[in-house]
Amino acid sequence: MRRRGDLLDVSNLRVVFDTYTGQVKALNGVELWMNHGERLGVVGETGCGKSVTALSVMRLIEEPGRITEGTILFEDKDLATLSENTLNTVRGKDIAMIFQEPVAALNPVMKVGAQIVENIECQRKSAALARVSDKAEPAADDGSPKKHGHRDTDSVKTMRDMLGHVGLDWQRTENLYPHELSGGMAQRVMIAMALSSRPKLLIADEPTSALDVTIQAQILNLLNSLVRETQTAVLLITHAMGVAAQFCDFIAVMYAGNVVEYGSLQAIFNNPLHPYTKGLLQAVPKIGRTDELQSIPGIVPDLIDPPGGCRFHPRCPHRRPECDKAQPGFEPVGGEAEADRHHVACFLYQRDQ
Amino acid sequence: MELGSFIIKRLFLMVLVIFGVLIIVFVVTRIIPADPVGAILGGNAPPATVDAMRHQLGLDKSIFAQLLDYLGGILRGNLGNSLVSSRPVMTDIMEFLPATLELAVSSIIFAVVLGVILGLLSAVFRNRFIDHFSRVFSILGISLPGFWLGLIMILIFYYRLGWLPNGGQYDMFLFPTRTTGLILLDAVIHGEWNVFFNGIKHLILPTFILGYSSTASIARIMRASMLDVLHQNYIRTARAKGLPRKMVILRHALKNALIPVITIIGLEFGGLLSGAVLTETIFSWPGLGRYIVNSLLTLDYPAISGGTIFIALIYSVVNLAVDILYAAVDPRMRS
Repeated sequence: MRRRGDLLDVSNLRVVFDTYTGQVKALNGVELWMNHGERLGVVGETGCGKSVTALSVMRLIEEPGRITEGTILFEDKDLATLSENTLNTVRGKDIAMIFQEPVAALNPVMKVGAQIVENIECQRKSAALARVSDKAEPAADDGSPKKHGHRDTDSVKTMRDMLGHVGLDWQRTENLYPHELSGGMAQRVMIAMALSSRPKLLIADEPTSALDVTIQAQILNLLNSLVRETQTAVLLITHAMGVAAQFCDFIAVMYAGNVVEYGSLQAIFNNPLHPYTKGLLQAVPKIGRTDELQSIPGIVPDLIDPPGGCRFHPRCPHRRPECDKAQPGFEPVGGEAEADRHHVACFLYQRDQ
Repeated sequence: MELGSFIIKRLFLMVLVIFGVLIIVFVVTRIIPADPVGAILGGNAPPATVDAMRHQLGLDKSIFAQLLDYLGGILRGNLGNSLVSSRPVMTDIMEFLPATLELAVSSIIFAVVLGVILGLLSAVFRNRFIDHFSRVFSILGISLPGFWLGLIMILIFYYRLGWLPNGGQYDMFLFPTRTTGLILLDAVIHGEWNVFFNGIKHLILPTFILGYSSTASIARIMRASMLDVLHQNYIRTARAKGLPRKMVILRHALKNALIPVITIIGLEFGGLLSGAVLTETIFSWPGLGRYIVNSLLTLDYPAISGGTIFIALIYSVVNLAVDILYAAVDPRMRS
């Protein structure tokens, strides 16, 4: 298959969770891609697989979840098949991640300064190893800083600089424990930690959802200016269309484990094609909007026993006879600029149907 | 820093607890329906002698004055004289305490080290062989009575195999030099290595029997705690940093998982002290537990209350240490 994004190209990604009540088919062939420096927003309602997609890219899916199919091409590597040891030279170094609940994402018994330093030293170590030998797998206990705390002055300096970049005073912050931070401060620490290794891709999994509304804007602005400076690509997971519109160049709309529509911000907002995307946009409140807010009838399907064919068909106002028989392909939309990359998975737009 | 004031606060609380124990012991020894004078003089002593003895023991004073005498005596290190041997109870206790300390400390070390390792491996290799092994081992440890297991162990390792002695602290023909009273420590101080290794051999079975059930509870708590910690968000963060699994477990998970384990170490130590009574009896271990049992059988009240106070004191000190350790490990406890 043709390579689509030079930074990340996820295709046909399938993830299942084996539970006592049955197999949850969480991701059902996810497709998304991005180039260096781009910002892609993954939107969709709770349980549609946004976070699972984010975690899968870093192969952080835990038991009982597992990737059953698909490729995750990151630059020249397929992360879906890399060994755990090689993967550890990519994690944190090339791809960093921030999470929804920043206080819980920090180790409660370690000072925050030390946690950032640990990340910096870990990445230096794996960079050094990668230079020594590209082929040899690093030994199991390598790629990790041997020194504790604040001894490595270079890393400490980087840590303090990073705390400054995220608007925190290092003298007051570096010796604090996570429980002494507010949610906003903790997310700043997480951002400092994630960006301290100058990653090529930052995955932000609902980074502002757990924060106060006023803090949300601050954190988004901070993230915005930092990644602009460093040309870091961002994969932003959010359920808020507004956040995605503010922050991203491209949007992937997810429903029940599938990306149903993908394209540039303009394409998605000005010319939404998939019935689900249309419904989602009609459900966004706006100041000055006078018509009634529309909700999408029906509920999110059970992913243990998902609907056959297109998973949206039971709720779709435009369903056709073929919709419950086969899964629609994820295909480019004709007649639009190439740069919009507009793709949709819906039989309504398939030329040969 | 905050840890200092935390320790001072806990020390103050500990003094209160000890005071409470003293009051309870005092009240209990006064309300029991046995007359110490009768116990000393027998039932047929003439009234004048009884009165003289009452006066000598201070029992003719008011109950409040008796309490002050009792507390004053304890502050001066005087626990009264044994009714059986007439020796000061303090002297007796100092003779028997080291053996119990040696056994309890070696048991708790055994229990913590083995329990933590088993629990950790169990959680990390969940549902694999080591997990099943550790869980069966734990269930047995909690359900098998120590005295029965002790006898079985003696039967196997002493009677059948002849690998280990059947009791005592060291062989009879050895005459170790005593300084601290702790056999192993004295042996090291004086370079008596034959005594040291002989002592170790005598310590193995009692340590195992006394520490087994604690090992089991610690392993179970450690397993549950580790499984919980491994699903925490900060573990995912550590993995996202690209840390190798070993480092994620040892640096990020272990310390967090140990927090609940530390709490139960203090409780288990209390269990060890009471368990020592049986273990010491089975293994003829010359410790405080056996001393208290013998005192109970002869109604030697000063000895019983003295022993109780010492056990309460050890228990409090251990729990203080546990609380300090707790605060040192978990910064959230200090605020």
